[in-house]
Amino acid sequence: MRLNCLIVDSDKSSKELLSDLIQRNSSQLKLIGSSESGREALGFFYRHQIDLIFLNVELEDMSGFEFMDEIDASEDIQTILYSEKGDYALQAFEYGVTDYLKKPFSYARFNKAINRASEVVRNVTDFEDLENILLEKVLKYMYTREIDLLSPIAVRDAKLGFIYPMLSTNLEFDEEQKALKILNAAEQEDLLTGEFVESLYLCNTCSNAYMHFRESCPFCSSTNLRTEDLIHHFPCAYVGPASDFESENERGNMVCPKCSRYLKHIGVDYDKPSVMYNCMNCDHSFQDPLVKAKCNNCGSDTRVEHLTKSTIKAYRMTELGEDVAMGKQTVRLKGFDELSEVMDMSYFRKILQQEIERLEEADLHTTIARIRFNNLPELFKETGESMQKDLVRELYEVITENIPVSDLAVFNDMITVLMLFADKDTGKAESIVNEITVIMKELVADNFHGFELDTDPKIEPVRSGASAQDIISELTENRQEV
Amino acid sequence: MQEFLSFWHQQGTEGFVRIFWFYFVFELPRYVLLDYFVLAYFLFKRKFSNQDRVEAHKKLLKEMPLVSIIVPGKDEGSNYYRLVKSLEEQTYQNFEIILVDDGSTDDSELIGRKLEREGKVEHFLRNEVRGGKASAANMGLRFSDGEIIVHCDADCSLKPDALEKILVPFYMDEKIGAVGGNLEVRNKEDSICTALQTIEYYLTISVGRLGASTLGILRIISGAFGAFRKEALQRVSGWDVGPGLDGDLTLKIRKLGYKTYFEYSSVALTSVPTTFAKLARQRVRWSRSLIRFRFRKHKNIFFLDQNFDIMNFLSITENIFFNFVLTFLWYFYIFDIVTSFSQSIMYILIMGLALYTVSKTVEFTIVIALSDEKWEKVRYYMFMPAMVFYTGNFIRLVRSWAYLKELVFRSSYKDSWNPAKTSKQARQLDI
Amino acid sequence: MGIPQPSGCNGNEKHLFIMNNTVQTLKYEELTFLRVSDRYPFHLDQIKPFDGVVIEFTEKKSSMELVKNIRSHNQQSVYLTPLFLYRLYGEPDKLIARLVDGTTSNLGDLKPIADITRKIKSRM
Repeated sequence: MRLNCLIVDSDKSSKELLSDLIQRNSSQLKLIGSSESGREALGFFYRHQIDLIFLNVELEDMSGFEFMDEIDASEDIQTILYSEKGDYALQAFEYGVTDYLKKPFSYARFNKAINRASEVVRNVTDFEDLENILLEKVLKYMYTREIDLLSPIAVRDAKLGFIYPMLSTNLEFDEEQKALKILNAAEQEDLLTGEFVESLYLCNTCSNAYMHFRESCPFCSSTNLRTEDLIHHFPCAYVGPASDFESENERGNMVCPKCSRYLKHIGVDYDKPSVMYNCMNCDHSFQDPLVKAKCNNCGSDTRVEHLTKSTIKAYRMTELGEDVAMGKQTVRLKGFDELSEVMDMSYFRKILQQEIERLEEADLHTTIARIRFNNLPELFKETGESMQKDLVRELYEVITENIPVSDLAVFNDMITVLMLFADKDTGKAESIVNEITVIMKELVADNFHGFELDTDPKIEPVRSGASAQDIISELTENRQEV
Repeated sequence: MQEFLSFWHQQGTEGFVRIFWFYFVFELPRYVLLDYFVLAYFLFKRKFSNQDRVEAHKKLLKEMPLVSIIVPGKDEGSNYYRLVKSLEEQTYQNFEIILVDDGSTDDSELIGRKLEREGKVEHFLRNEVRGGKASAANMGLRFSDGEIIVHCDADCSLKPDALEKILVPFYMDEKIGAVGGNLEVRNKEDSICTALQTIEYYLTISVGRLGASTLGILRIISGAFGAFRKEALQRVSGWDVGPGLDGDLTLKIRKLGYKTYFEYSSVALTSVPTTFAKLARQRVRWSRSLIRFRFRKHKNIFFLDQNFDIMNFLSITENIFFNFVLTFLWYFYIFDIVTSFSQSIMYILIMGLALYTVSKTVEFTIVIALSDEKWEKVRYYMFMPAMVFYTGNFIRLVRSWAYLKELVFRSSYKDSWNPAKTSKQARQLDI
Repeated sequence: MGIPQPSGCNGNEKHLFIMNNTVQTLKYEELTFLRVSDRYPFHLDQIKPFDGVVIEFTEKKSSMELVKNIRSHNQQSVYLTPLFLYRLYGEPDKLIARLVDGTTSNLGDLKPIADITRKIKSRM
């Protein structure tokens, strides 16, 4: 969740510096505006929804503290106070600011401050996922307004071409497609029932509905095409594009180049059995152009056969949904807890414990392994949150597909996977681990432009006598600071 | 038996000839003697032109002209893969495949477009509305880039060197405008009907056309597998409305002064009708073309004007005479025998069967002589008696029927083989 | 800062002009509504104590943004509050009218708005 920020600082260069810092942290912060005077800032403050104020104590028309008096900061507004001269730490503390910085401050120090602010916001919202919150809002809205059927409204500017009241208005343009996801998950969880409204095609990359559809040349992909009707002249069986039949002397009359007769009526002495495309770029002729859809938002150009179809529905609340709306129940949508299966440590622990107990009785070899992907966070930074989960899930699937059925894998966290190899010694386990390491590296390299996944494996035999938790802890400690 | 022998002993040589005059006057010279003469001439020529052939072959490989292989058809999708595969295995590879789909209603389009997308064929051209084989072939011609055009039926598959071999004659003589490939039957084992047709094809195509070509009067380049110089095709503006459009096209090209050639060693395999009923329908269709084109459309062949060409005249005349005239003459012959020898009909029939069987066997020997796979073909000798009835009776009857229908009823114009729209137009314009 | 007061009551002169023109209250029987203009947005927390909000429509873009902001608020007392669109002459934008709980062109008769508000409140 990005915090809306306001800079209040009379010093131009200082203002610029802060603006710069905020831009650098665009994943967490969004700069709404900046003011040079307290009064101007107040005006601005009331006009916009601000979450975080960067406030210089030394303003030209008042002090930062006076400003804070004015806004009578409610618990929703956070302030990061800073000053150049003087030390106002104590006073800042009394005012309950989120952080106080003494100029000059380092980027790291700045980071720490905004992390604090983000933390506060998270705490306030009880660590709930955005999706769950929005769902609750929609359900409550439907309940209080006695809305029988929540229908999508066609809107030109909307990313999907449709918006859902209350739901879409809570989403930024970039994320409007989450509305579909949320409603779908709610339907799966039996909170809503959906009725079909419309099928549509959205951009595969960014889910935008506004796409340009046009034919392209199968040879050179150019969209600069010219079409011509083909004409079949019955008496002499001549077939050619309409331009073959145009006579130079007489406009409007068509003359057959083969038998020189005039063409009279379509359907009587000639017809147009098909159409021919000609690429103006590479001069190929063809009948079967590739139709491509170019997204107006992200520019990706996809063949229409590859577009995935989405369904738009209208929704009614179920009884369960009503209960949630009335607050009688809370629901945590499983759909958004997407990695619950992938990261089910309790199950892994249980099985490991069973193995340990088996070892005490029989003379078997069982091995446990851990692979840590040290540079995965780097990749995550680029790809964004939903891709992270998808990637982890894919790695999980690749692993489970390629290890023997009797073996178990689980992700301890986003960058570490644990594996249990029942009835296999370390040698065997090692060869399996090597195999899947190769596969995973390939998968990542293929999908992320040759990114070289750094894998750090550790393989150990399971010994009886220790507890499952101990074994796991030992294997996963020595964590690097992420 | 005794009476049989005594009857013939009584007739003597003179009587024998008198009874079988039809055979001795027409059939023996044309189908046996002429064929042997031609065979000898052909073998003689081949020996001496071997050097030319080798030279031509070298030239071909040096110039490597682009060949456009046009395959028009309707609902032929199931044959596409086999054809494309046989082309992939050709020894000559500088070609582009143009499939023309003339209003198919099955999944031909799916198959064709897939082949096109995979790059296995250069063009897959489709008309939503059927226009007829001529228009489909013309469409392929219009969008072809090759110097030599090969017209091929979708259900044909080519032997690996067929394409290379059919191109060589173009480099032997500049005046050669069209080269016909040899057609053999693919499904020879399917039924007696197909076995008999196999023999027929050997006799009429492999030997028959070879003969005509050697004498310079080859009158038909089969659409099932034929090659043309693109300039020749363009000068005659492609194909005209059928049926019999192959013969028609060949004649048009000859009229321009081009020569036609039959390349015996270039072989395409085709499937033939498996039952006599289907066969009859096919032959009726083929036979009608004689009337329509030889008589009506191309009657200027017979006119003694400056375009008159003796070879064209002879080739058409031969065709008309031996197919059309003789068919009806045969009825007269039968009438003659039945009335003159009504009591001894049985003896005549039996001797006739014997005579014709021997004749056919002799004819067929030419096939064996020319063939590289002699032993394979030897077993067909046992079909000779059946062949007699096949050629002598079945085919004749079918032809007679077809001629009558066409002459009297102009029924080819109503033939659903061509879409009604084209036939109607052609009829109105009398072409 | 608390509930905005009519002019003259607040000692701090600096921001009087802002408060005066943009917010007003409307009373109808037991209900009080906050009346705002979409032209001069305000701090959303001010909505909390009221039973509903009447937005004076001047322009599509700013109205839409205001509705969006209210509905995006993370507290129920703000995001679930009944919203109404007011325009003296002409129709307010159709789309926005569908996103709010009712529209009116006559602030003299608040009964319809009150009825809707009561119904919604009974289910909150």
